Formats: sequence, structure tokens, C-alpha cells
Amino acid sequence: MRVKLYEKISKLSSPKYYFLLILAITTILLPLALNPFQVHVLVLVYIYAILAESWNIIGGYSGQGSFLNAAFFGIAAYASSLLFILYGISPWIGMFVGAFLSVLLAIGAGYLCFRFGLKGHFFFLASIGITVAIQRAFINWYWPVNGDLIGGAYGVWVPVIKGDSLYHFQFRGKAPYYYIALAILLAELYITYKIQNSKLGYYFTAIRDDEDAAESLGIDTLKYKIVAFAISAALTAPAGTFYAQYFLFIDPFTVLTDMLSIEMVIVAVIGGMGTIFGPVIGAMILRPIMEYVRAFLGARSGLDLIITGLIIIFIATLRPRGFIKWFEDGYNYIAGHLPTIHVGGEKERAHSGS
Amino acid sequence: MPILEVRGVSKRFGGLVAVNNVDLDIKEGEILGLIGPNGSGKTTLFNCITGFYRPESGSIRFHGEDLLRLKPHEICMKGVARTFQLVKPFSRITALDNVTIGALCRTNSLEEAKLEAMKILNFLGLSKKMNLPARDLTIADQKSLELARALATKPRLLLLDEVAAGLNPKETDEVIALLRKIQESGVTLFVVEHVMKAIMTLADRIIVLHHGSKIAEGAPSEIATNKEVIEAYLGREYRA
Repeated sequence: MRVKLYEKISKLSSPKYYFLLILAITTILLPLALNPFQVHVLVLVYIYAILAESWNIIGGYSGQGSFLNAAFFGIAAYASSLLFILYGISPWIGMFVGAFLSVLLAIGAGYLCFRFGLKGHFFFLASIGITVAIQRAFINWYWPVNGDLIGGAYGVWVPVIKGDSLYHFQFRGKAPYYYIALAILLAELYITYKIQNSKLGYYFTAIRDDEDAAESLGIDTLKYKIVAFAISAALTAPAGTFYAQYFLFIDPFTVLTDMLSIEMVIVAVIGGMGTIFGPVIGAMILRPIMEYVRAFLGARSGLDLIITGLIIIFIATLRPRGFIKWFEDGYNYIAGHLPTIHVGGEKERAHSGS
Repeated sequence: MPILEVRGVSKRFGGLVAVNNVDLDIKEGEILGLIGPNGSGKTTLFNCITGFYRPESGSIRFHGEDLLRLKPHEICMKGVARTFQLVKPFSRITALDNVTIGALCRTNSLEEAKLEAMKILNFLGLSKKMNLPARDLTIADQKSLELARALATKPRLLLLDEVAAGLNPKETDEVIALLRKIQESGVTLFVVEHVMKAIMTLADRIIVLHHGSKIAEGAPSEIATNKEVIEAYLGREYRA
């Protein structure tokens, strides 16, 4: 028993663990140290990390370049907002309804596309087509509220609640949003980790690398591609509801645009597709650059987009597998140079010596 | 009862008849060879049996069960595995993970699948390279990997499409010994091969395809002296 305990302690005091501990504490304390704009940028980083992480399931692990993920995002944003406005239902429940509707869309669209063998560019085109069709539908879709019409091209304003309310998913400060976004991101990272180390993850990878070989090994490629799509949809949806509650305004031009899908792809590709932390790293690098350039130079100049373009070219030439490789190398270097804390004192050293 | 029963199978591509009314039986436990000049329809026939192509006519029965309506993955689950003439490794993941994916069709446990995969890699002499990405393996090793993956699905019938092509004589001998071992473990083999040494020593019976039709069937010694076969391979003027 004693030996086991010491083993555990010495494991916890290894560089890897206290490095992670420092990272965790910093992440939790950050909102206290930063100004609201900086916290806002971090919230955006987390939203985009969530989006890229969910795209990663269908696009990175399974190799199906989906542009439909913007629709999953938009549907969840609309579902939770409308349920709240029309029926007073908490956005938290709306979030699950949105996820459910997104999953239905993923299964339907996935079946139609994959059943008829759409691959590569053709799947990509079909998914853009469906996204645009859904956007058009929402541009022309109005809902009556107290004799008024909301929705359509005007968009939907989420009614503001006085004060902080967890039930209504509304807060005055930015810190609660920061923690909620962080929690969603961590949950999705955990799910991705679980998938990667399961039969499902292995099958997704097989489908990405060679579909015929996958079929010949007993993998129902149609079924597993639809499953990947459905998981991707379910993971995208929380970000949609979060976005609606954070900005309190949505319209088809911001939450149902294919530009959003493009950004998910860019973040995932720059960070490293088909890896757990790649999308997070992509978001950490891209979002701050874009937000600060936009803040300093104005949204109209388009310079933020030019810079993003340059970064993509840079990555494509230097790191076709994404930034994650640099981070892994850097992490290994730092972890290798950190001294080990000897929690167990002499007994621990005696044990490790034996 | 034969393990596989093919009756009157035809497959057309536009005006080209790739497989023309082919009948064949595979007996449980034997090694059946399939030879024929390039473009004679060997791989097409394989693709028909394993569900990658749907033949226009005919029937294919495995243990008396119709395979014609089934998809490739369902046929694999029934116990018919195959390798591809042009190797199709999952190139970005390790050799071990490649074989693990094959083993996962019989279990949901990743641990079990990995153990099974290691056993098979050991059997094929690939265990030293199991942590290399599949794309870094030599072509000979990639062919073994292809075989390992197929074996991991625990097949009753294994269709091998040119596993010895492009190997040097030493490697060819190793493959022959290996296939014998696989046969002894109770797997029936149906082998397409251009390397005559391999097919003549291995096969219990050989079937010859020419322009999609079966032109001969028999023991290797009979096939080697069959006039039609020699004609098909060498042309009429070389007939002895």
C-alpha cells in the first residue's frame, strides 16, 4: 500500500503533471487578471476551439470535408433562442434541443450524401449547397411574437434579463461566459479523447485513410460516416447556443453562413487535423491575431483576412500537419528541462533507488 | 458441400465483358489458384465475390448462403476476407493499428483487438516493425501487412490478389511457406498469382481465365501442359 502511494505521488510530481497543473491554475485564474476585451478574445478562442474540435471529428478523424457544420451551429443558435422567446424555455434545454435537431440534419444529409457515394470535392459541394439552402430558408422564415414578426433577414434578439441568471444563461460580466465556454471545451476534448481511443476512433481513421480497405475489413463505412457526422453535429450545437446567449443577437448572415464552416476548417487545419489538441492550438493562434488586427485596424480594411491568408500559406509550406508539432516539441523540451519535485522525500528516493 | 459456389457469374463494363459466365467451386481447406493473362478478369471476379462489384447475372454462395445482395463489409463479417492487388494500407497509422482495425470486426474491446493483432504480426514476422507508420514499410512488408489485416478478421475463406508479385525469390519462398501455414490453420485460400513458381507449388487445383471465360481447370501439372492455356499466354504460334 505504502509503496503504491509513493508511486502515485512521484508520478504526480513528474514534470508532466505539474506542468499541466500550472496550466490549469493559470487558465482558471486568467479572467481575474485580464481586462474585459482580453477575456472576450479568450471566449472567442474557446468558441472557435469548440467548433474546430467538432469539425475535427468528421473532417479530421474521418476525412470527410464537411461544410455543413455552420448549419449545425446556426440551428442550435436558433433553436435555443426561439424556444426561449416563444415558450420561455431555458437556453440550456434549448441547447439539447438544438443538438438533437442538428443530429437529425446530420443523419439525413449524411445518409443522402454518403449513400450515393459523394466523396471529396463532391461531398464538400453538396454540404455547401445544403448550408446555403438552410440559410435561405431562415432568411425568409418569420415567427409572430405579440403581434410582431421576428426572425427572417432581421434576425432574432434574445431578450435581455436583469442581472445574472444561470437559468436564463445570461450574465453581466464576461467571466461566467469564460468558464462556461471553457467547461464545454474541456468536455468536448474529453469526448474526443475517448473517441480517439475506442473502436469508433479506429474505424473513423480507417475510413479516412482508405474506404475500400475499411469495407473489406468489415467496417460499414456508410454507417460510421453518418455516426461521425452525427457526433460532429452534436458537438457543434452547444457553441451555437453559447454564441446566441453571448452576443444576444443572431441572424442568418452571421450564424448560418458558410464562412463559419471555412473558419472551422482553417482553425482545425492550422492547429493540426485529426489530433485532440490541434484545433485548440489553431484557435489560440488564429483568434487573437484576427481579433487584435480587427480591433486596431478596423473590420472594414480586411487586413485581418489578409493576415489569416498569409498564415495559412506559411503553415501549408512549413507545417503541413499543423502547429501542433511545434507545440509538442516545445512541450517536450520544457518538460525535459523542468526539475522534478521530490514530494516523498527520503523514503521516495529510497524506493526509486531499489 | 463446397465452401464457395460460383454459378454463371457475368460482369460487364459497358461493351466489355470482364467476367463471362464463370462457374467454380472451392472446397473447404484447399488452395485454389486463379491464373490468366493480364486483363482476363481475375481481379474483377474477386471484386464480384467480395461485393465490390455487383455481377449482372449468376449466383455466388458461401456455405450455401447467397452473397450477391451483400455489401463488402457484410461479406467480411460472414468470413470471407481479401487482400488488394495494389496494397491499400491505412498509411498514416502504425502497422499494429492497421491490423487492430481488422481484428476489431470480431470484438468491441480495443485491448483484445490489439493482442490479437500482435499475435498475427508475430506470426507473419512483422512484430519488429509494428510501431512504424504503414507508409514507411517496404512494399514486401506492406503486402504482409495487407495479409495480416485480412487474417485479423478471422476469415474462413481468404482471397489473395497477387501477394507474391514484385517480391524477390527469397521473399517469394517465405510467402509460400506462410500461405501453407495459413492453410494448415484451417483457412481456405483462393489465390490469384502471376508468379508461376508460387502458384504451381501451392495450389491444389488451378482455374484459368482468358478474356473473362474459364478455359481450363485442374491440377497444376495438367494446367502446365494444357494447350489452350499455353496458347492464351504465349499466342498460337508458340504452341508446342
